[in-house]
Amino acid sequence: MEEKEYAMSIPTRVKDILIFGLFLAMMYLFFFGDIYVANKWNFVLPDQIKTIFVLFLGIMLEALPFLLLGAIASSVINLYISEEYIARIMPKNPFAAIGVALIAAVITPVCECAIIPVVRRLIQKGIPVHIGVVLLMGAPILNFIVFGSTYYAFQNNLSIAYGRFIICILASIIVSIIVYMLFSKQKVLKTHREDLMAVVPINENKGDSKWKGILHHTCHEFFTIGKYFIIGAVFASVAQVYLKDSYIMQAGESSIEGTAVMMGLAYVLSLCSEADAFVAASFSKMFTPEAIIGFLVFGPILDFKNTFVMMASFRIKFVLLFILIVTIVVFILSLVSGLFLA
Amino acid sequence: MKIKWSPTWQLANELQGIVLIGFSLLIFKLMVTGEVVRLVAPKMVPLLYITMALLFLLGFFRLLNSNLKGADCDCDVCDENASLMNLTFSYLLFFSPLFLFFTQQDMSINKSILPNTQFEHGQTFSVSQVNNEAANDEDMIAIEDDNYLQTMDMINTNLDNLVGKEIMITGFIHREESFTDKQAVIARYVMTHCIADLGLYGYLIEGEVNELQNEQWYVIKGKLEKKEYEGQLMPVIKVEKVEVTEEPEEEYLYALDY
Repeated sequence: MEEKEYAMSIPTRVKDILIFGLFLAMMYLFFFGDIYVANKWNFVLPDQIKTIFVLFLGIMLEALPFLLLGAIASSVINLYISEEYIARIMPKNPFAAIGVALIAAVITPVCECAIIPVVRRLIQKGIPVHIGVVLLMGAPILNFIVFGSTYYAFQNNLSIAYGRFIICILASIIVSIIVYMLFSKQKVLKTHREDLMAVVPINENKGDSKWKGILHHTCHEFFTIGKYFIIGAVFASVAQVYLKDSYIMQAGESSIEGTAVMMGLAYVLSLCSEADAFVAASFSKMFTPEAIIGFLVFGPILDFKNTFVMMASFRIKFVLLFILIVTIVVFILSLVSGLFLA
Repeated sequence: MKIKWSPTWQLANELQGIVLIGFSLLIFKLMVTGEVVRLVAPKMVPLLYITMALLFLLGFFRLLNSNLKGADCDCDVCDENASLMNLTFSYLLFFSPLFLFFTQQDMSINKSILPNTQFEHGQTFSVSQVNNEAANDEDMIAIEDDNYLQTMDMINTNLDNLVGKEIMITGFIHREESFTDKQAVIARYVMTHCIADLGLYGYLIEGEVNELQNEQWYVIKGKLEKKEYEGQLMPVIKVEKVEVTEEPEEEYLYALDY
């Protein structure tokens, strides 16, 4: 028998009982949780905690379909798109490649949570890092859904709608070039176990069913990303409740402070790129146009929840530098855009 | 005695299966109780149905195939071994929201804690310009659920032409600390995407509003006026008639519905 072969293992019977018990517990909670557990144990959450939890649930429900979509896309890419194919369609010239990536960003309608596993997979498959960065920054903003909602929200001030997309394109090109200079020779991905090709497969049951492979892979991806997403979403909902906007609002008048505050707000609120235009619209009378642009461009690229998701995929050093570069570039570009918008 | 052993990745896979089924049950329960539209906008509902079905199937697949039999997985990601400690921590993260959710009676919350639910931040909603002129010809502006935001926008942009018009609006009463006895706000909550972007949109009302209770729903008739409040010119409704009404079935308005 193959027991003891595994470095880390658990007696099969213990495992089965544990899983069975958990499953029953889940069913019990599903049917009777709100009646018995809540009433008998007097299990009531305090107001603030419950609000945080409900906010968290809202953010999570909104992202769940897209997280799942991202996981599925990533595993399909993993199985069906080969390194050779990517090498064939990617122009050799790094600058031409940026153009191709921008077009790719327009046609991939995924939001900021879903794009990270996809980009990670693509970089693993041999796409240069600076091209991945263009996708990472462009895909959440440069798509028709987001353009629609921004256009809709700023019908009275279309220059902001157009400005958002122009600034986003400029920012991704600039950041991409900086990343090209800094990281083109370095490894940016976090080393996961699967990246070490030398590891001998532990599982000898594996067969050749592709769809099973995709499904298992989707689950795995979903949970790797999901773990960080949950942490990020908890942070975002706590911030929503505790960082009330009272002191933030006073910064609205000044162009520099206002832009910084709006970018910070975008980071903390972690709204989806399709929703943030409407939130931004509600700030548009209090803040200068460049601050609104900063909010609209920065928020989809970077926020609380996707920072954690990025940390699941990329090395900390890369994530931190990426955040720094994006922040500076978007900040400067927003301020510059103010000259044209005012 | 000989004991059979299983690797921890198999345990992890089975835990994942249960979590996936749990999340699909979570969505299912929200759908059945109808509370889903208090958390996310209705346009998410079809997507959530699909997600629910996918999670359910994926969960059972993962649970029943936890040994990865027959799968073509060239990357070996599916059989990472982790220590039991590590497993406990990461799956507590997934199980705790499920536990919290299933033990809550409902999803009602104290909305005053939310960041955008203050009147002074919610009055400018520059969404659309549909039929800016249409309402000008009528004698009375009736604000309904389905034209709430359009009308609000129309009033904000054409305020000068509309002063003195009769207006009828349904909403709940909201008060800020800075209000006098004669002031209140008649408002609705508006959701764009999910509860995190819930905002309060309404009109300042003036007149005999002492009697009106916070959070109670009313139909208010009055005349539209233009006043300055905290340095901003805004429409103000001079109250003429007030009727108590029931809270509507759809508590929130959804900004992306029209």
